[in-house]
Formats: sequence, structure tokens, C-alpha cells
Amino acid sequence: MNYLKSLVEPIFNSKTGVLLRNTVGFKRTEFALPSNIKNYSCSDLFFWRTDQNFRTFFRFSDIPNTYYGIENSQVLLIFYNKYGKELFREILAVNDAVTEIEIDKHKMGECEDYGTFSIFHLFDPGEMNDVKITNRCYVGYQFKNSLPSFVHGNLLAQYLDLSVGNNYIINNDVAKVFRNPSTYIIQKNFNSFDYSELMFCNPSEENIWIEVHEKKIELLPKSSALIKIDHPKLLKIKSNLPMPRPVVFSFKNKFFDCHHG
Amino acid sequence: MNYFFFSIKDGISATLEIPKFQNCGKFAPNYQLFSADIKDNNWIIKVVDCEEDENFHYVKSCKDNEYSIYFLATLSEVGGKNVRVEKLLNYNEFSNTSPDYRANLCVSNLAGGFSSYQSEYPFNMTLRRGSIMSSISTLGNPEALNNTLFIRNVFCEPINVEYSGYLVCKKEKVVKKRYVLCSNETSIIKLNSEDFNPNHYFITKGFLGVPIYFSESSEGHLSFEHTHPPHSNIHGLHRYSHVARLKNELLKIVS
Repeated sequence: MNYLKSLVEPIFNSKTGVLLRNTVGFKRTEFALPSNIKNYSCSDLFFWRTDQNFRTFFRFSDIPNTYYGIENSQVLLIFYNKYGKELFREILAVNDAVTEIEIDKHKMGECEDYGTFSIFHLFDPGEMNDVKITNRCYVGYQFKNSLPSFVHGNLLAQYLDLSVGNNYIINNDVAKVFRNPSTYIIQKNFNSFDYSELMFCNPSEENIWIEVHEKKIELLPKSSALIKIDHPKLLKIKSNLPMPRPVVFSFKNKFFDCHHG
Repeated sequence: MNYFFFSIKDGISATLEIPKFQNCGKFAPNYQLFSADIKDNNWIIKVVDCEEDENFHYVKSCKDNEYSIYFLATLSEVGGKNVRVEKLLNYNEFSNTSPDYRANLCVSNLAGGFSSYQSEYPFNMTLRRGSIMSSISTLGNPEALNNTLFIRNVFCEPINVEYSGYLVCKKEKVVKKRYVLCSNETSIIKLNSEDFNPNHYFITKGFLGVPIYFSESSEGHLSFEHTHPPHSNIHGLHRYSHVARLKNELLKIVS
């Protein structure tokens, strides 16, 4: 039985296999990590925002060292604007077990806006096999003089093959789009807040649509949208993205809160 | 099936909004909200009388329900409005959803500050003993007035027993602090500025739990979020053995 499984599993989890499964609706998968690549670093698509006096704090762990004993690694950060267009890349040496990066309007070229970013660990895996990093990280949002309110990563989106040297080609086919739309209702009552904002992004390589109540938006790959809502009885989200889960910002008086939907 | 819980401390209260619907929109009209509390080495399961509307049950924290846990079930699944059981049970599949079925756990202070996260405690986790680890610097706010680490354990047996938590420096291979925690309670650990070091980990020995980081500023702003389980940071065939090796490295320091 195990022998049969070892024969079938690679086909089942291959690109074609996943496409077929998702098309016919048999054991569909929302996220498919590359099964044929020995070593990779996979990233969520995180949000940055510098609009409305927000600042963003990003914390990541030195996963190569913590789990695999690989020292002196680097990270590649890629920032996108809200239309999904790449703004810039930067490579940083990893010196600590946990590193914090501040993303303010100065870092973003005096831009008061929002967008997405991703992170990839860079190192030479040498003879190592099966080094597969999915660093989920934490993002804190500071509104005016508040404490940063932290949320964890939630949307796997891109990966980089670590076995191809310094050729930093980003693959965007981790998050999948379904033919039949999904409905997702956030399990929270939004009534007690002055207002809330929902930050959506498109982690897939295809165009997606998202419908929140009567409002329908289209998102290009890696692009993002901020939707303001008032007091919905239930917040129903429809999309061809199987897990259309936004980051939620809720405001009341001078305070705000942020969490994953 | 998921259980839901509180995390409170002096000056901080909490509200649980437990949805009556799955996140795909399916309602279960016969389901009621039950609480479970430990008394005389049994779990006492009761129907909860709390504020509710057509979509949510709203449970507010107080001293009497600080360690209560909550779940959705029908009267026939539980067997009555007030029953006694020897172990927590997996009553139904209603809260087994993908994405996970969650309740909004919101903490607030008197200044009006609030923070929340979408919380749950999966039934399968209540069956196991073991240890959890969490990197202190990933979620703490060293510049905050107060930093607290809540460790919430729910164990299937109705026992309140002490177990240990440790603040360990992985680099120096030393135990910085030891804490006494209690099963089936939310244990409260105050974190100080010297605790925030990238090489510091928190690790438990004996029971699992959810590590939740809370920070409060002098102006009343709050942050409240849990850390990922360590196996979510890597994939591959040997994922769990890498996590086990890291945990064993930390446990070796504390033993």
C-alpha cells in the first residue's frame, strides 16, 4: 500500500495533478507547495501600509539557523504597490534569531499608501536536501501613536528555488483559484465599532474577484485593496479565491485593533 | 470540534463572541452554548445563559468564569442541561471547518483600548500532553508599559495540576526563569524588558497550550496575538523531526 502511495503521491501533488484536482473538484487544494523542488523558501504575501498615519513593523525569525543550523544567511524582501507592481527589492544579512524591520513612508519613498511584500531566505543549501521554509512571520500595524497591533502571516503566495544559485526567480503559483466561487463569513460582530477596514490581496498568479456585500473588486496578482465597512450584520465575502480572508482593522474612538479575518 | 476560552488579568476583561454559524454561512439552529468547569474531579457541563442574537453568543468574563471553556452542541449530544462527565468529549463535527471555526476573543481595558484575535482550542489538542515553544521576541512589545504572556491549556481530564514553563536562552544554553503553570487554566506570565532577547524562547514541560502575547501602552492601546506552532515555519518530509530536535534542545537545557 505504501509503495502504491509513493508512486501516486508525486503525480497527485504535481502541478498538473493539482490543476486536475481543482478543476474536477476532487480533493481540491487552496495552496500547493512545489513537490518537485528539493529546497525552497516560501513566503506569505504580507501587507504594508503607510497611509492614514500608519506604520508597519515586520518581524521574521532566522529559520535556516533555528531549524537547519545554517548560519550567515540573508533575506530577500520584495515590495509591491497596491496595483501589484514591484517597487523595489532589498537583501539583508540576518544577524539575529529575530529581526524587526520598520516600514514607514520614508522607506517607501515618502509614499503614504499600502501594498504587499514578501520575504525569502537566501543561502546555499549545498548538499542539503529537503530544506523547505515557510516562514509565516508577524506584522504589526501602528496607527498614530498606538502600540503596533500584531497579526501573523496567513496567505502562502510565492516561493524561490534555493538550488539555482543567485538567480532570484520568484514563482507565484502557490495559491490557487477555483472555478466555483467560495463564500466566507468572518466570525465576528462588526456592530460595536465606529468602522472597520478590510485589507485584501491577491496571492495567486491569476486575476481574482472579491465581492463584499454589494461591492465587487478585481485584483491583479500581488495587488491589494482596502475596503471600508460600517456596521454589517454579517460580513459575507464571495470570491473565486478559495480563502478570501482579509486582515481586519477595526476602529473605535481613538483606539484600533487588527487581526486576521 | 473546538472549545473556546478566556484570557484575562487585573484591569483587563474579555468578551467571547461565539458564532452560531460556520464560516461558509451554514447555521445549526438546534445548537446551544455549553460551558465546562472542573468540580470534584469531574467536568460539569451546563447550558450557558448569556446575551445572544441571531448570529452570536456573547460571553463576558468575570471571576467565576475565568477558567471556563465553551462549546456548541445540542442538548441530546450532551445529555441534559446540567451533566457531569469524566472527560471532555468530541460532541460533534459542527466546528470542524476549513478555514478553522473561530470565536472572536476580545480583551479590553478601562481606557477603552481593545484588541482581539480569532481563537479556538481544537479538541484533538485536549487529548495530548507534551510541550509547546514560542519565541519571545516575535510578538512582545518591549516599549509597552505591560507585557504579558498568557498560556492557555485545556486538557481532557478534569485536573488542575501544576506544570512548568521556562524562559530559556538558546544561545547561552541556560534557563533564565522558571514559571509554575496550571493545567486547565490560563496561566499569566509577566514579561520584563530583559526577557525580550531574540535568543529567548518560552517552553512548557508537561502540557500543551496556546501562547498568547498581550501588550498595553501607557495610553491604553493594546496588542493581543498568538504565535504560530513551530511546525508551520517549515515543510518537507522531516518537518516534525526538525521541530522535535529544536524542542529537545530546549528541553535538555531545562532538565
